[in-house]
Amino acid sequence: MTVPAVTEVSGSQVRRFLAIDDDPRWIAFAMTVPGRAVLFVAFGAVLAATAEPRVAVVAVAGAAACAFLKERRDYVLLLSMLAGLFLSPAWHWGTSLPGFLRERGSGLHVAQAQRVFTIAILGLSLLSLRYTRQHPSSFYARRPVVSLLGVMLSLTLFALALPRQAVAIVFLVLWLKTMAAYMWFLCYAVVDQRSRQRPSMPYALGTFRPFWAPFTTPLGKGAAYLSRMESRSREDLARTQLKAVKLLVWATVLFQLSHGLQAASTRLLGVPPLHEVLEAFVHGSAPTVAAGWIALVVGTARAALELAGWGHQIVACARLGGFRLPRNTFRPLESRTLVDFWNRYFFYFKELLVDFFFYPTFFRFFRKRPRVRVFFATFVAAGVGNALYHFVRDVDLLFTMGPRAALVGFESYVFYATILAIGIGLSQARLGTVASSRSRSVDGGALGRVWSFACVWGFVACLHIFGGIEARTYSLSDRLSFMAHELGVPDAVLGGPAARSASNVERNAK
Amino acid sequence: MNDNRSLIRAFIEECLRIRDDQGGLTDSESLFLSGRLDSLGVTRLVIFLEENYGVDFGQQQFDVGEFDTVNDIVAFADECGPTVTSAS
Repeated sequence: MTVPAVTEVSGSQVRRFLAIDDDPRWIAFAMTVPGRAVLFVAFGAVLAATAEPRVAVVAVAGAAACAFLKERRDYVLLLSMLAGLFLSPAWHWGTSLPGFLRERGSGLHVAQAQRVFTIAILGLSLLSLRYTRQHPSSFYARRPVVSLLGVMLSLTLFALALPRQAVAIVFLVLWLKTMAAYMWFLCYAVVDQRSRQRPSMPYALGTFRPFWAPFTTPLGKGAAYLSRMESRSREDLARTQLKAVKLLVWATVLFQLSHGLQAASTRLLGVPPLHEVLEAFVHGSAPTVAAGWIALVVGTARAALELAGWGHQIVACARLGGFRLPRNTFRPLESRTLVDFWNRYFFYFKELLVDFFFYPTFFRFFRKRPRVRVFFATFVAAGVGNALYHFVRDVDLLFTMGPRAALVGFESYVFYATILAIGIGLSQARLGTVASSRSRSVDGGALGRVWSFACVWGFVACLHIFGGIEARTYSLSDRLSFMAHELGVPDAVLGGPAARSASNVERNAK
Repeated sequence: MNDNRSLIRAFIEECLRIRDDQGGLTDSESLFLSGRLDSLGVTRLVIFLEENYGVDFGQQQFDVGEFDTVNDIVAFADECGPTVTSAS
């Protein structure tokens, strides 16, 4: 008889925890010095369990300084950004660059070179922001994305034209990789310089890889957006920080769910992770159709759980610093349409594409044809912008894999982005204007919700084969073959395991 | 002026209703930065302003933060003058 009582107490405790940011006693406690100490220690302890220690230290120290030195928030942001840079200068390197630098950059103190290049990029960014202030109508100020992509393309072509063993290539690759990492932060900063509420220079530079997000997508957008998101009072700050703790705990739960899901799939069903299934498939060992689907569903679910957990962790750090940022992922299972899913799944990446690709296209093209206008702008954002973002982010692969292999490997992501963009574009254009969608208010009851869920997530799971596993070692034809296999196309039609294996060996030999 | 406010309020309430948002609305409440309306909402707002006030956003910078509340949108609309429909 004690079990229900324990369950009730436990359930009530969970409910109380979920409401701490609305509970006046907790808010009052979070405004006291001991309350703040408890909050930061608890947050730091939970964060250290899942994040890299150096990243956790920078995040918690930066958040504390930002929250309690509000008058100096611009310089705090700048200093915490520099601290993050010096503690982990290679935050944006990925997996293939270190090996390339070891092989090619003999004698070069890579970490030092990386710091120097980053400082140089930040210095040039500062100069370019000053230029933007002085020349707000210049091409660079009006079209930062086109300008910076043009510079990157020119440098990339120049580097590719050099002899393969040229020492200059090492420096150019490092420069390109560093520039790619800061590019979107700089784009936001340039746009912010032209806004009515122009942020200060330290504030603008402080948001280049802010203390909460060692990542190339600006989670928290630019300085102008962030300044609007600052907590406005001590009570607001306490409430925001309590929300931060809640979100971090939820992130930890999601990470555990992800690990548990894979463990269940592997141990109970004997199905390995999706990338292993795909690897085996291209080497001639096709899984059963059921095993393939299980791997695909588990892989898609894990990707969603990991993205949500990771985004929650980052947003929680920003909230601890007093920024009332919206979540990066917000209840994606409730998506009723593809465009709704796109808004809920990876909010800040979607915002980047909307800000730099959707709006510029939407304001210029097909202005007399609303549905075509919406579809085209959505396609440019979710398709062209999406593919460009990933190509620029991984520009080093042109040199570490070789240009041909990198481009062939990227075909699959282009396919993914194209199909995704068409899906979202049609979904968005179908909703159309208010007048046309008035009769189409979303509801449809429980059955309608189940149908929406099945359609949206079925589409997402199928696309996961092409975009979820970003490794460029699998070609588009490998993935299309796997998709066909999962849809029941006989192996003989696909060329058979031996043919796949042979073609794979041939490709690797090239 | 009141025409603008009632027209814009009706439009925003319709946008919220489409998103199943029954949370009520004050004129100073954040719409876009709070996440109550998304980029599709921005798209609708732009088309609404272009159609009703003859605005050409291709010729001027668009910052969604400057259209975040009903008050912001009404102030912008008031600057633009009478609605295209009421003028014609």
